[in-house]
Amino acid sequence: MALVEHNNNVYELPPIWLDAEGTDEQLGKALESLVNFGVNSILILACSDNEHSADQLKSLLGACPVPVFGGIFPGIFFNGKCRARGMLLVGFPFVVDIDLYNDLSRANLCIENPSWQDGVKIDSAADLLVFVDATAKTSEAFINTLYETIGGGSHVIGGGAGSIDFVQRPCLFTRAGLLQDAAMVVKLPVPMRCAVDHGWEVLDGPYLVTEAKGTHVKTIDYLPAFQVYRDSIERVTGNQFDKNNFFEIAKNFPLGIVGINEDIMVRDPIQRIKNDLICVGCVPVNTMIYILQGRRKFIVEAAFLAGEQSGLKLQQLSHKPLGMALAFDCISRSLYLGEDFSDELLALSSGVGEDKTIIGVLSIGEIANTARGTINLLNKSIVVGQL
Amino acid sequence: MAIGNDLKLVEMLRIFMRVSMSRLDLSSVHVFLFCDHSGTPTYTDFPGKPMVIKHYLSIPQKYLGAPWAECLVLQAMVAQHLESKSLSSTIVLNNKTYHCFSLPAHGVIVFEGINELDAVVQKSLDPIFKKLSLSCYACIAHESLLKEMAARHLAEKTIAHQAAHDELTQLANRRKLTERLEESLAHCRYHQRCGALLFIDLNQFKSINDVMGHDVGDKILQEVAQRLLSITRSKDTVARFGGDEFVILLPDLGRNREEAELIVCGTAARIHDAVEVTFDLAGVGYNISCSMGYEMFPNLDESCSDIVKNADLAMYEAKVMRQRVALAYHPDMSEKHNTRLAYASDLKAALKNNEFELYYQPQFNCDHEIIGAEALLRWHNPKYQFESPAVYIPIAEDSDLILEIGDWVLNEACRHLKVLQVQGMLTEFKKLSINVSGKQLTQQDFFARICQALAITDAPPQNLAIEITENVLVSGVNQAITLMSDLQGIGVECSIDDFGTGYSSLAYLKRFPARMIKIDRSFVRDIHCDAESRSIARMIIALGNNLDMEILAEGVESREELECLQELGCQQYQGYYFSRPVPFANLLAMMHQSQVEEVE
Repeated sequence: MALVEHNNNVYELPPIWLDAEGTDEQLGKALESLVNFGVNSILILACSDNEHSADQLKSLLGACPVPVFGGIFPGIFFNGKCRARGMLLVGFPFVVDIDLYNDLSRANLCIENPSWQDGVKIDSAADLLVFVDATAKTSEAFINTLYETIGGGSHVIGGGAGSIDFVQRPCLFTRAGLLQDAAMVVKLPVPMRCAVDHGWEVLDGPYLVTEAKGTHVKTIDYLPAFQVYRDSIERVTGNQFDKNNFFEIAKNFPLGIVGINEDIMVRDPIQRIKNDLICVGCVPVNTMIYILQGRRKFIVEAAFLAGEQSGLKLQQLSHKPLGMALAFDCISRSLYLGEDFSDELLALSSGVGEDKTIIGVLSIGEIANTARGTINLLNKSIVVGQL
Repeated sequence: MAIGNDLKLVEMLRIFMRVSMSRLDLSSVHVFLFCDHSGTPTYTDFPGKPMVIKHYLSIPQKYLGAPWAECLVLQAMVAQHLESKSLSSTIVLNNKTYHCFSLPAHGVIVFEGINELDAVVQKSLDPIFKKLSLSCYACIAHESLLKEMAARHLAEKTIAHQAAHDELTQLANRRKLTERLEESLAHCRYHQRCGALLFIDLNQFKSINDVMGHDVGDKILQEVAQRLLSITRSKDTVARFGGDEFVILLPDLGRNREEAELIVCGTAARIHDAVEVTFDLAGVGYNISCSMGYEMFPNLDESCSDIVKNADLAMYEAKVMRQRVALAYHPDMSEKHNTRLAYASDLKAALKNNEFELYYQPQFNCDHEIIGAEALLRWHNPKYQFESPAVYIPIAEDSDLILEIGDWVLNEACRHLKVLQVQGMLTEFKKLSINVSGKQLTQQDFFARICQALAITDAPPQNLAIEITENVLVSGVNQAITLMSDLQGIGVECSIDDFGTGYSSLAYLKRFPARMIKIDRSFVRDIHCDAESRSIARMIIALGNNLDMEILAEGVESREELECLQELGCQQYQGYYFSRPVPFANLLAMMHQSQVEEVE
């Protein structure tokens, strides 16, 4: 564990601690050191392989005198290097407001719910970081309700925390401890500008989703969903599905909901149950969908573009930036790119600017504003926010 | 484009708006609806009819923290669209495109996006908006029906409540109480358990109502109701039986009768404590108490109306006996009650049939001269013979009969007084006294009645006196003082009767404009050998002297008593030693005799 040394004469970067072991004990030491440093809030990004203990961390986090926020993700990356174990802590000089939403699966996700009205108190368009338990069944509904409640004008990034095995475990860092089935909205007192991209292209389609329930696509063009999906891929690409290779093939061919302005919202089919396709994120009935493909060049280029666009937007502001970029990169992009994922990180760094520090996570689902301003749950995308 | 089939307007619109946002890549959607005067969404029955349009729903609710509902720019767009009378209009503002579409007969829907919708897309929305409009109509009609049903249900509930509850206090009414009593009686009989019915009557309430007005009375009743509710169990029924009567049903008090009765007594004690707390109304304090009776049940062959009647009788007994504790019903009470009823009926007939006669007990000075007389009522009835007034006067006082009897006594005494005057008897003879009951004192026109009686009979007011017992005075101090002052103004004087037996304070005594204090007979009896009585009598005499009031001793029955009283300084007397009460003719004869002896 160590405080990262910055050789940066341009920006006053906040203190960043990088730990390769990712134990609770090290976390405690890191928190203590950052607090002694005089920070006013702490972001914690940890890996799911760390095996943190919610019981042990409850008192540790509760004792922290400054707000803490963050999550446990399948991986973290820092300045071009990705890790499956370890943690990153960033000590910010500013205080943040954090709204916690517990019991997400049982929550009354309704605009009129007074607790939702009270929870997100925004007097002006504060920019937000959103962390949500990716395994909570209502995580997308939460994000939709969040937008419906706070409205447009805010710049939002975030991601789904948890483990890639989709077993629900405590995954959000708060002063109340390590929480699960929850969401956290962090209001930043400094401006953030963000961009999102994915790089996936249309392979085949369109098809009409004729029967769906939440994240389950049941029929496409009135035919069993998996059957249509399989036939299309096998026909166009020559890949052959068998009993065991669904994910291996499907990770390369996500679904895309194409909007009227031709923006593609990606939906990642992660599982097949009989003839249903289960995605990360909802696919509404009567939606026109396409089967997408990725070309590595364009996938990697998306990282560059996201980094570049977020920087260009930030430049339009008059304030002095922190010189930091926070990225939520979908774990399935990493799985898709495999060893080439380092190229993505390089491209990201190029886009953001090599004089800036990049901190990121491999998330399960990403959260960001779309071009039209709505806040959506995204799949297989990279979301970059620059401070 | 899913419209959804929710019958709630807001939910139906929300579904549509969300689908619109995702299908058409919109940033926000806003609905403005025509509303009636109460702000409820409605529809126009013909195009062009001027209607009020109001913001109804936006998704999302805000932009940059400000609610879309308050966005004046948006409202202006809608107004402009309506003025244009077109089905759709487009405005570009701040790099955003706003499409306004008419919802036929219902209002306007506004789509906000970053790109303009293609004309083909816009055109394709026409039939969708028509369908949406139909759905709005269905929802509005449905919600209107729901409102009507809710209002009707509320009205039915209110009526049902009113049918079972007293309007003023919201307590159960007689009907509800009877229902509950029937249920409880059946339950107790079947399960061999006990219950009780407690009857409560407020004391002094009528006078508060009459003097301070029904507003004050009503508030006190409401407060009493609340106090009773606060000290009873939730399974008990507290009912207002009417007027100032309350009934509490204690439905299930266990199997043991004695223990049950203890519970009843405990409850009664709490009720007393609660009722006797001062009622503070607009800074004025009112004090009342209550009389209570109860009946335990079940008893053999007893019906609900029997239970109510018996508890009422027990309460009546408690009232008559001025008991603070609740009295349990006993069959003797029914007998007493029946006797009272019979008496009351006979008293009424007595008035009609002239069965009453005024007797007079002369009052003497130390020279054995007749200086006055007290009128006493006698009833010549073949059934009751010469029944003591102590028996039937309280019965008369329970009803308004005492007022009729009092009027008769007043008029008869005035007539006799006139006779005395005509016969030249009013030289040494000072006053003819009549007794006045508490009820007469509360009569608003009692003074007028006295004046009228004097006028009709042409009797000399200065020779008439009224006697008011100390207790009656104390229970209506202000009224008594007013009456006594008014009477003093016309020459009619007042005496305080049975002095020493009441609860008056010396401060009150100072305020009463009375001529005379009559020492109660209990202090006169054997005064010559009772040091305590002598001390009391001495004190009363001194009091009278200091307050410039005359003193008369009642119930003098022996020479020894007379001599003792004389020694103490009392100079006026009344009692069997001198004379029993005699008919007026006899009094007249006695006075003639006395005059003759004087002359001689």
